[in-house]
Amino acid sequence: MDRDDVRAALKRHHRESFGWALACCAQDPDAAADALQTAYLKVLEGRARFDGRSAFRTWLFAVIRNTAAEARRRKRLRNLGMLRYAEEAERPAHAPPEDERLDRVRMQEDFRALLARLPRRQREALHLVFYHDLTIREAAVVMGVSLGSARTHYERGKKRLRQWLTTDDDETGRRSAESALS
Amino acid sequence: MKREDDRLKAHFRELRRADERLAPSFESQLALIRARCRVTPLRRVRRFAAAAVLVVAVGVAAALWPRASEAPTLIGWRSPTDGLLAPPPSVPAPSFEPAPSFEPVAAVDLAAWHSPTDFLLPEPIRRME
Repeated sequence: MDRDDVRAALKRHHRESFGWALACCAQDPDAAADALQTAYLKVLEGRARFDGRSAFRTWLFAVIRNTAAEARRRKRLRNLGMLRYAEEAERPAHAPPEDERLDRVRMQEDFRALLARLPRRQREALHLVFYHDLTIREAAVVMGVSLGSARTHYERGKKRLRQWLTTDDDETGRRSAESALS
Repeated sequence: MKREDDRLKAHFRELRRADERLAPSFESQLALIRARCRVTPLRRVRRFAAAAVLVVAVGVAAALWPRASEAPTLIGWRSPTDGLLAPPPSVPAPSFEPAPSFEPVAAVDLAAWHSPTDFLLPEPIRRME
C-alpha cells in the first residue's frame, strides 16, 4: 500500500475509527480525536506499517487501541491518581427527559453507563462485535488476545449486560406503574 | 438468545449513530496533524539549544574524566611512612650467625632393612616343623 492508498483507506474508515477511539477513550471526544490524530500520524509516517496479515480495518483498530492505551498511561502518570476523581466530578447530571429525543438520549446515556461498568476487555469485545460488526476472531486481533480469551470476554460481557438491562427494564416498569397509580 | 443479541445490536446501533454525529471530518484531522508536525521557528531554536547543551555536557564530561595514563599504578606507589622502616645510620646493622650445616642423612635401603623383632616371627614355624 502506498501513501495515497493508506490515506484513502483511513478516510474510508474515519467515522468508524472515531467511534472506536471514543470507546477506547471512555467516551471523551477530545481524547478520542487526539488518539485518532496520533494513530493517523503513526500510520502516515510509517511508524505503524500495515503488513496485510489481517483486514486494514482490523489492523487500524489495533493501532488506535494501542495509541489510546499509551495516552491513558501517560495521563495516569501525569494525574497521579487524580483522574478518576476528576472524571466523576465532570460527569454531567441527568436532566429529566421531556420529549422523545431526550428520551433517546437518556437511553443512550444509560446504556453507555452500563457499558462503562463492564471490565475494559469485555466492553471492548462487545463494542467490536456489536458496534463495528467484527467477528470475534477479528476482535481478538484488535485486542491482542487469543481467540478463546476474546470469546470468553465477549460471552461474559454479554451475559452481564443482559442481566443489567433486564434489571433496568424491571426498574423502569416499576417506576411507570408507580406513577400510573399515583 | 437471538432476540437478546438483536436488542444489544439495536442499542449499539443507537450509540453508533450518536457517535457519528460527533465525529470530526477527516480533513480537519489531517489539518491538525499537519499543524502538529509543522516545525515552527521557536521549536527549531529550542531543538538547536537542546542539541548545543548536549554537546557541551558531553565535552565537559570528557574533559573531567580521568585518563587511563594518569591513573595511579600500584607498582610505582610508595607509602608516605616508608622512611620509618629504614634503620638510623648510627645503629650498626645486626650480624647473623650462619646457620649450622647438617650432614646429609644416608638414605635407608628399605629392601635390606630388618625389624629388631624379626627373629620372633619364624620361631613358631620352626617349632611346628
